Amino acid sequence: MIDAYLTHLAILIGIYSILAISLQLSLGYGGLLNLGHFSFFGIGAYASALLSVEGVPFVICLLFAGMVAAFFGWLLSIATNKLKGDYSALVTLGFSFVVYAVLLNWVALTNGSLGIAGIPRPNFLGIDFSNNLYFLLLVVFIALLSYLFIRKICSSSFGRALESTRDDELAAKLLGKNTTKLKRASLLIAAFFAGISGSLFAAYITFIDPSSFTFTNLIPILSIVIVGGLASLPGTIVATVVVVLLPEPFRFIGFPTSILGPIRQIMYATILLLIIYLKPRGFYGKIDLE
Amino acid sequence: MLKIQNLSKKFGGVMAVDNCSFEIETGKITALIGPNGSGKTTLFNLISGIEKPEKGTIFFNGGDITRCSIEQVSNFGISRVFQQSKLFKNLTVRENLLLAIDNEDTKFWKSLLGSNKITEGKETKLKEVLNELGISKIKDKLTSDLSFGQKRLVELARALLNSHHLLLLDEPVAGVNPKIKKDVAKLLLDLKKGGQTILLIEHDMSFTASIADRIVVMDSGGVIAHGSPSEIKNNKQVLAAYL
Repeated sequence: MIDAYLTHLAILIGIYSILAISLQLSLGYGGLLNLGHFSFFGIGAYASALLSVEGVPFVICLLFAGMVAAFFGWLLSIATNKLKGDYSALVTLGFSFVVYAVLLNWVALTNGSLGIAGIPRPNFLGIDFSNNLYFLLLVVFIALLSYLFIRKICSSSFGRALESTRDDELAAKLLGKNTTKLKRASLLIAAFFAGISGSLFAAYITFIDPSSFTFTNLIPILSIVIVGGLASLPGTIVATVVVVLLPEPFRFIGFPTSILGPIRQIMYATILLLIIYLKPRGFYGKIDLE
Repeated sequence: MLKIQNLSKKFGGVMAVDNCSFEIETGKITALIGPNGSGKTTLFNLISGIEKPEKGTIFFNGGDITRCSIEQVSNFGISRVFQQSKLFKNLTVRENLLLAIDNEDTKFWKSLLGSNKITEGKETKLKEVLNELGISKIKDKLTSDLSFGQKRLVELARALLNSHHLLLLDEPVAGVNPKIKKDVAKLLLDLKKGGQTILLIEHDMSFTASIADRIVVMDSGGVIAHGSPSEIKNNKQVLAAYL
């Protein structure tokens, strides 16, 4: 029983790690406060679920989820290209509401508020991932690949150019950098990995509905990035573990489930405020939160 | 090399640059002087592509760059130092300089696959500039941790490493100590000897007179005089407006 519970938590940590490091790429390295990042997670989850219920192999569903999310990342980058700071954040926030409205109202495709049930668990290479332990190994493997890929980007000369755009876009342009291209690429890659994590989430929970992908769901992920510290990938992983595990003791106190959700939201907001006030660089952040 | 022709720029009802025309020659140091608000920095912004003029043309090496974007202007070979620090504050001095020397870093797959390497030639050039400006010891420091004078030197180093034919320097020695001022003057004269072309804005007249071959004086957005430092010193219109 305890083993199953711990495995469940470890799977969530794995899935949220991928989502958080992808947000870290666009926010911590690219400097784009993307309040619509959770929508890419939702788009990936739906794209994957719609294919997998039709019997399409999981690996194809996974890659398709990433590519569809990346396509929407590209569209969002066009909308935010000329905008800066608060204005850009507002557009991404608007994007998250549009995606939620589409998921809720395009009933023919998404089944509306009833959601998509019966999403099959992956089954490939002769391994049935209905077993949570195997699913955990799959999540860890994909999370590791995602981490290494994003770390490679951040430590490359492309990552350095991306950081220059975050610090001072005008100065980067004055050195001849095509900052539009840099920001677009970072948003596209971040969306791809958010889509991948959404696909894993859908395959794990086996049921998705629009309420799982509202803007408020971004708060824990944003908390992870800020608690871990901007522009720090190891910090993001540590913070994912902390933020996922922190509300868990409340389950054992015996609060009714109706107030567990709000308690979590209050906790995440408190953590965010404390970090901003006491430790603006989070655990291992390279840059200040401004 | 650079030809400004009838350039005008208006902000609201104010003519920041008014029908401005002048030319700068290759291999010379030209200084742009004038009282505060005379339009010098706006003119730099127009040349750099940050602002677009209502009227007039900017020719650089024979080509029209009036409507070019900031990055296009930079890639044509115009490198600029700002009045205020524009260093990447969360990066080290070396990283700031690498950004200037590396023009392939926006190529995603090339960077990711490790085929975009800093060549030995570029690495040598980087070391040379670090040594020339006496900032080798601080190369691994974050630029946010540097003093004002050090920041100015790093800005200058970055502009030098950014591939260029023309250097635009906006008050390169404002607020720095006399030693750095002297070193910068020597460096600019050395650069001129090496064939470089420099256009600078500077309020320090003794500094300007000691290095400039030619001075262009602006007032109320227009050019009121140009000539050698000695000619400018004795120009009545300039004396009335500025000196």
